[in-house]
Amino acid sequence: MFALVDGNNFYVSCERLFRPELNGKPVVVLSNNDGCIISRSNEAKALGIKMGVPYFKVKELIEQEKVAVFSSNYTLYADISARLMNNLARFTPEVEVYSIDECFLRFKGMENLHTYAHYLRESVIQNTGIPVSVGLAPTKTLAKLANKIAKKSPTGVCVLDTEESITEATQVFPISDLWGIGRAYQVKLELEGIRTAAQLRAKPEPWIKHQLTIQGVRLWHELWGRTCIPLKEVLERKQAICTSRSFGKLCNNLDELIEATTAYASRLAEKLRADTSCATVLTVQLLTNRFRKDLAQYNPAISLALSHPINNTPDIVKASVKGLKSIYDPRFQYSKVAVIVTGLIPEQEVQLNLFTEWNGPKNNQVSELLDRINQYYGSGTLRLASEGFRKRWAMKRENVSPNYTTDWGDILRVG
Amino acid sequence: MFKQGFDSKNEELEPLSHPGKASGFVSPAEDYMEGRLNILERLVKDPVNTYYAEATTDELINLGISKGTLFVYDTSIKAKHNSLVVVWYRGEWKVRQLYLIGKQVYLGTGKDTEEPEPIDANELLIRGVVTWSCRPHQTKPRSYVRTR
Repeated sequence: MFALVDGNNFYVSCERLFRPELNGKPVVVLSNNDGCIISRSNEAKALGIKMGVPYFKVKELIEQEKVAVFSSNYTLYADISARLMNNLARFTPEVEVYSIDECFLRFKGMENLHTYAHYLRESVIQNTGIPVSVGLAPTKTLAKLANKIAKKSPTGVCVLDTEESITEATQVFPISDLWGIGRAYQVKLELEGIRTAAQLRAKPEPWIKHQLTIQGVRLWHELWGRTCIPLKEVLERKQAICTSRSFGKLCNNLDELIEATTAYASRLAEKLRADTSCATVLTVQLLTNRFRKDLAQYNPAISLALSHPINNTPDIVKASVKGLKSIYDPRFQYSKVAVIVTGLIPEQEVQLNLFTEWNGPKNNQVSELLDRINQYYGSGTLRLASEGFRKRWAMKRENVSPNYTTDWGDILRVG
Repeated sequence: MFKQGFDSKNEELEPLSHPGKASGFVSPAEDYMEGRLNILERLVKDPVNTYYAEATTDELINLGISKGTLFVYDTSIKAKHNSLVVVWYRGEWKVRQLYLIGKQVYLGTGKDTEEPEPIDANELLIRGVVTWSCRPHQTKPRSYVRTR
């Protein structure tokens, strides 16, 4: 049996953990740069605030209804997530952390699943203070479905362990909410008159094989309780890594763009090293603000083949800045820069290129030192000077909460 | 992701990585070396459910807790009669002694002159149980907590 456990309105719940006065009140969390609504309490949903809407569009409603607004504090959410996942992992050795707030667990040879699911939920809520929902079913697809139902149930738990319970649950479940059904699939299936999971399930296998792709066939099997999607316990090496972020304001000054690019490229190099990968291709892209219809749009990008697979900070930064300079055009106002590395190979498999003059070993040492110092003294302590000090391009985070669990200066003050 | 390290060796204070390895005579103690005691093993039983807080008042002075005391609290422990608990009560975070007498809940400060306050359980949120309180003696109590 598979369980999918996820945190309800996770970012909002993290914020409420240290501000209990907000329980029962409308709360929203904004995306980077305070752009869009990315997490809503049930009370905020009831006010009609939709997921993903730009903040400015609902600002009036938010002020009128006294909705509490938070900028996203990913430092806090990451720590609370790690605490949540570790609590869950105590229940079974077979665990797949699926996202910052979702986790698949596998249980074998268990009896009294209902009791156990409730026990799991209650103890995780007691320990973390984060409300969670538990869906339990024979496959991951059905566990996802059960979890959606659990969200709406007052007990927060849904167990689909019999044919009757699965039939009943799929009867009213819209296909658009199924795991792995995108917009295109939804349209295609609806044209065939399939609107619920039960209707899809009722189709004969030859029809499914003929009409759908391999993913669709897997989905169909999973709906019948036959496992096709296993638990991913070992993370695969990433195929590409990207750091991109919007600036706090529009920017067309090359020096500021270089500072921002340096900062993102440094972070990217850190990610590469954490993954023990080296990059062979590096792409830099500049973007103008597509919502500003009054301004000229320009989104140039360049991909550079790196003469040597690298993951050290100085070389990644050098390549990124070179790319940036070659695409920069001062006539436009930019809102975002993205640095992407692809063609990743494992660090140990790097082959030396005889024909380049390359001081990789030295730069690798610099990077190792950077990582050690930043790990010890906190990230960003030691960085390249070209990142700049003023960070005029830095993110807008007007309502960010304290780092209650990762900064001694921010721990709870008690009377 | 699942490992929370207790390993935080300060290389400035401990510059030698293998102080027991001698170049000349093999140390007679080589087979007897054990890990040095680490206070975290005592203070933090469950790293995943342990949090910290700082006392901002002398309210609990009769319990030996003064302003600047660092609390270690664990959210996985069930509060009992006499537990020292971190609570949210009437709009404030507090550390108090919990008394459960019959069906009535009380919060106390340990002061002889004060009767424990009867509490409406619906208004009370118990966030965790204090497992240790650490009080600085050598240095003047210096607050780490930023004033906002």
